[in-house]
Amino acid sequence: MPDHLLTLIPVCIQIAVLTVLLQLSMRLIRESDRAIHAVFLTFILSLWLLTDLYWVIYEFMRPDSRMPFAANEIGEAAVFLLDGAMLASLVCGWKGARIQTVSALAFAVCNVALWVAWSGEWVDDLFIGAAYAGFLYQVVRALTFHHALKPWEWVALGAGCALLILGQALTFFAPEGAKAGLDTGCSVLLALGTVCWAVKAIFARRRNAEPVTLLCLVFALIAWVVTAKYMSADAWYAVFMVCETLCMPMLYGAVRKVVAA
Amino acid sequence: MIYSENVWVCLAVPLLMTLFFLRDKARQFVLNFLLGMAACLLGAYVSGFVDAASGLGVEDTAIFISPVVEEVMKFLPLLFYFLMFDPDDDHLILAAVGIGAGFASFENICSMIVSGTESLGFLLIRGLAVGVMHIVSVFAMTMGLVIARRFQALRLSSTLGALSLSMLFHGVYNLLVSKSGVTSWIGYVLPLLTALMLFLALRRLRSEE
Repeated sequence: MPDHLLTLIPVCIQIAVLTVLLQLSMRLIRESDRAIHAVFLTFILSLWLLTDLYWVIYEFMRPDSRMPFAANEIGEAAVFLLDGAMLASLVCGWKGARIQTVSALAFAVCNVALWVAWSGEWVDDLFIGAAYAGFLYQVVRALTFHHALKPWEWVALGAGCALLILGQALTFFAPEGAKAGLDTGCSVLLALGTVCWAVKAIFARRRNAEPVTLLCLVFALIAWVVTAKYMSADAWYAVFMVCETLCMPMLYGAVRKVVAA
Repeated sequence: MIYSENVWVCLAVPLLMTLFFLRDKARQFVLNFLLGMAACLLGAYVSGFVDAASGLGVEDTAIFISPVVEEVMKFLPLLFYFLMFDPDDDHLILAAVGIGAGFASFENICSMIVSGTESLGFLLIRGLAVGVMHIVSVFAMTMGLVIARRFQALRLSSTLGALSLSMLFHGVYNLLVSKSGVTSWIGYVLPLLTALMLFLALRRLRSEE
């Protein structure tokens, strides 16, 4: 399958899913008597949809050129900001969590440094990176506030993130043969992390966890999948794009539960 | 090259004069129309600077950077009005439509000076596409602000979200019309369709009051 189709098909599927969810979220606003979370969700989904549409149109019209800094990057950053604002509304007070939040910011900074090293697009990466760091900060803050993770899970998450950054950084210095191995290793680790977060969110739903905790876990899953998507290329990018699409109905379901609670 | 600031002055002087004779909403509309024209002029300066500084080229700057710059230029006076005067929804929408109409009109006039006025068909398409697009994009931005305020979701993020909605809409339009063919026709129809949808949304919002 040609490279551009490998990404184009998952994005088109995502657009279809987003269109349906957007209609459902608008209905949720009315049903929930204008709950703030439903409004935020509608905002997020509409921006996400337009960002994807912009990307697809660009790929269709200029398949052979790399996109310069454009409106869709601002849209992506706005999605991160709105995700963060929605998470911030779930955290009513501040409870410690200094190690986790500082680590999350450090992870975000390392990620942005890696994006810059890969693409050389300073402006784009710093712009998106600032919003992405804010989103990660809010995810970790909400997870801590609602005690969504056990202490050993925090340790495992920290170790996984450190391994990822180390592995990706080493690809710049490793010889060609080792580089491919490191890349595959990182992608497998990212996929494993996605499975773990998904299992955690699904179990939380099955065990009737607090709706707000479930929403935090779904956002954490989204944050992980987005990180994985940004760290990957070609087939792995398409895989994580599909995972991201699968997260969207989960996000809608979690917001619906929060609104109904 | 045209001296667009001279064009602006020629258009602005009679409009400024009308401000002395108008009252209330009519005066507000004309004032916002003037602001929209000024935003267009400043947007052209900023886009020109970005073109020179980034080396993207005139075409790529028009397609990728102009939507960002132009929407910011339209957004700034609107945001100032919104934050400083806390207007009701109707006054905010009036301001937005005035700014959008002023922006679109001034851009159309400058475009006509450059490309000529022989073909009525071309001018009609431009008027219905670009003209409506600017009004729709600024109106969508305002609807975002109105909805966020009404549902107590007004934050920095939702304000920027509303702005980026209009940037994306403008960006999609510019991208679609950048090449002739089917895509450009889709681009020309897009603002009219969106205007219809926004009109229905506004009617629904007003009926819920």
